Amino acid sequence: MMQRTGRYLGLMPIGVLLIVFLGLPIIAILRFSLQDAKGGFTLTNFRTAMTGVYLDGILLSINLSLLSALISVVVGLLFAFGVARSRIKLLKNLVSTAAGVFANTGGVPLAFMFIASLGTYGMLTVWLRQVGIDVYGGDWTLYSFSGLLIVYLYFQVPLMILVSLPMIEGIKVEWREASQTLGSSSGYFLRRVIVPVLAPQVLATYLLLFTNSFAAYATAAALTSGSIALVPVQIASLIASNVQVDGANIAMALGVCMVAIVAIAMSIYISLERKVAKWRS
Amino acid sequence: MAFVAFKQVEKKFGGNLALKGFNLDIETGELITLLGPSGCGKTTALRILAGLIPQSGGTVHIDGTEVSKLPTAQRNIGMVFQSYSLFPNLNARANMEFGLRARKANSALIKERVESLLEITGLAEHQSKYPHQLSGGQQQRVALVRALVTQPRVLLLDEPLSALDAQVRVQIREEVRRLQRELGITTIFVTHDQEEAMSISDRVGVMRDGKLLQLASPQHLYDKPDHAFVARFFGTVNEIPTRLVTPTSIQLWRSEVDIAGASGEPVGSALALIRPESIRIAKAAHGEKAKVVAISFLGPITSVEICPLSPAAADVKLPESIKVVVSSQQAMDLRVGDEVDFDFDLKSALITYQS
Amino acid sequence: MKSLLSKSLIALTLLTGILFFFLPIYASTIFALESRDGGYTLDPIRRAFENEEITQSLLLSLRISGFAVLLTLVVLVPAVYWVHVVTPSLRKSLEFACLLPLVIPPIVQGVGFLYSMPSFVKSTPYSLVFAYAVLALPFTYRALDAAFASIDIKTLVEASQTLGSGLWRLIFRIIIPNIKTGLFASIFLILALVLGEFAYASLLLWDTFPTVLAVAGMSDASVAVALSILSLVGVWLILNAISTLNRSHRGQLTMGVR
Repeated sequence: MMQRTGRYLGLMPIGVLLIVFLGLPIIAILRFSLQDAKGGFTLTNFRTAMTGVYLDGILLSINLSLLSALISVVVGLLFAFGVARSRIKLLKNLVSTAAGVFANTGGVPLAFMFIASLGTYGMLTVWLRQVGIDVYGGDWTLYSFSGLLIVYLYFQVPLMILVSLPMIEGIKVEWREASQTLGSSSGYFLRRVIVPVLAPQVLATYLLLFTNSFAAYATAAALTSGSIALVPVQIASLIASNVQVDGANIAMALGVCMVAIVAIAMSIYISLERKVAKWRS
Repeated sequence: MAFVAFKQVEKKFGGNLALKGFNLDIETGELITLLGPSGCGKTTALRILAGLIPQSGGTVHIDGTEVSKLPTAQRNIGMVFQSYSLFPNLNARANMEFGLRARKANSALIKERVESLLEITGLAEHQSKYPHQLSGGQQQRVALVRALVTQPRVLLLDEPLSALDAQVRVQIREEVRRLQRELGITTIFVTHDQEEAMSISDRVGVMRDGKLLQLASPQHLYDKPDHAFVARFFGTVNEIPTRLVTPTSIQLWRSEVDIAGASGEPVGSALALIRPESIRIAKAAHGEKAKVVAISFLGPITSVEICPLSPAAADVKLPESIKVVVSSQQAMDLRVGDEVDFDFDLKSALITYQS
Repeated sequence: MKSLLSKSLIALTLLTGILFFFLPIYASTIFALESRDGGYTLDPIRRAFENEEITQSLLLSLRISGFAVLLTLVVLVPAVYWVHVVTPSLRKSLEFACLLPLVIPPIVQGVGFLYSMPSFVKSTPYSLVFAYAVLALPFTYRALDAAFASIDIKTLVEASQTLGSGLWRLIFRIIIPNIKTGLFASIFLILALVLGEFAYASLLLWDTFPTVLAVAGMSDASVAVALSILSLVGVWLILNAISTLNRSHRGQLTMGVR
């Protein structure tokens, strides 16, 4: 293994896999996003992607993600606090396993499950009507922004719980005891130690949840069949339709925008995680 | 009354009695160490005093006041934990200031107290560092200063050195003792390491199974242990089986020894616990003898394995061979195969009965 | 801290949680299995498995996952071994490269795939094998890397080399048995991914299980819902298998199929 090429032999297969099946698609996206239908260089795709109906789509996606992440952080954290300090070992294990399971629920099956429960003819809708609550009496429908939000929470909240449990366990019991022996009130301790220690971790998780929601496609596609114009849905419909001649190019530009947003979120996440890891050592 | 007092303190964990009838009086300015194996109740007693766990029975007093109803934060104590107790998001100085800032003390006072302690301990150069940037020893020193800044009435240390390297341990325990003496603060130290306990304490309380076996100065514990357990805990001790001749005397080696003051019920056999320095061993010309079978040099002491040659009158029933630890000075000229005789100085021996 | 108030709050939160997560499962199962005359029937499940399209799609998905697993193992195991034993300095770079697919949402990757691959690649559903291997990389990498890290492979290899072991013996007797947990985790992760992946499959117009399921939803609701519940249960069983093999969840939080 002394030759130059031999030195990297084991890494070549994965290099090829990544370059061909990730690299080429990425290059294609960049290329087409900067081209018009005829192949000439242009920036109009980006201009279109960031205005009008497409801008609405981006904002909608961002809103859905910001909101689902926020609700998940609050609910998940409360839930995790209640469970993590419980003395019942079994409870913690059960919740942890259940959270792991539900965090991986998504896509088409999840959408159908909700349609069968809270859809117009869903079982829960029917049962609620029998007890006098007409969920569809007003304006609300499952196939709306808020409906989608509820479905997203089904996998977002468990993900938050899953990440929060070890986070809360990382709060050493010695800190509270030391704070008490030093004569501090719970409030001061919370303010001076707990919040500063948890804040970067919670923020990092928020970003994780944000990107999780932002990149999601299958659930929205199966639930709303394109009526809620999230960015992934718009991209898919642009590709599928033959009406717009530069549809594919706009779709690519939208894709680049998506990647940019996810990349920013992920890089903040990584720097936060690094900071937290330092403290933990 | 003593400055710190435990009166008949009891603690039950589930069905397990962790502390039984625990009584302890500590004088102002004393450094007392609670010493014992894990599970003996020493940490439990400390944490009850701190208020971190409630007792199941008995009372605890600090400076004349019964403190059981007081929450930890109001007991005005300082505590150093085994590890992980520094707040990770605050640097060393901020950690030290925590107690006073939590009590809304004024900045000038805080600055004065912290800086004087920083100077005494030589930690000034590390004050801006965060816990993860400090070594284990430095962290514990910071934790010590943090506990002392608030000028507590009592200082509690829960195995503060157990997680540190051997060399660092010695440095820091000496610093603890130095600071404690200088500030004159009443201190309770908990450890399972007898060397630690002996080197820094005014008095040591040896504990086992939730009970305080003996409380005395290190010297007294070494010279006059009350229990076999205590004797075994400190330094090396020889355990020589003996036989009862009369209810008040035993057959030890060649002689009959009067043991009116021994502990326990006079039935069965007795065990003589004798320190190496109380044994004289020399080559025997005649009389009762034993043969040297093996010699292990251990530094200040030497283990000599001997085989009793002719048992004393009336079957003493000594084992085939026993190892006797003597001071190396005594064993200097011995060789394997020599025939030797013993002389015991029983003034500092402990005789206990075994049923 | 453990006052009655906080205890009852926790109980309330738990109750709400259980309701929110289990009611839809219960309700949709009833939905799928309710028969017109008021009783219950397993008919939708029977219909599902008698449906050619559905069973074919399931088989296709299973075949694709099988190949994807093989591809992953053949490509990733040597790579992870390499950065643990031969070129440790490249470990961080490999980690970065394998985590890269996380930054590019599957729908975007799919579009790029569609517009960059030559037609001979796109003409077979097995092109998804490569796409899925890449999608699964962030997770399979973490599983295998953790497995290698936990056994100090470098020392093991050096020890076996001093004992005179050859290359194949090294691979089969030393490496593979010791990274078993990582291998099994990767297998299960890919299986869960393929059974749920929708973006790529729908863009490239292949009839994998998820896409066929989506279409079924429009024609036979009971069948679609029954299959959905079954596939959810299936994925849950798979994940249970992973977690029993692997005490810590650190490496494989989620497969990212949404």
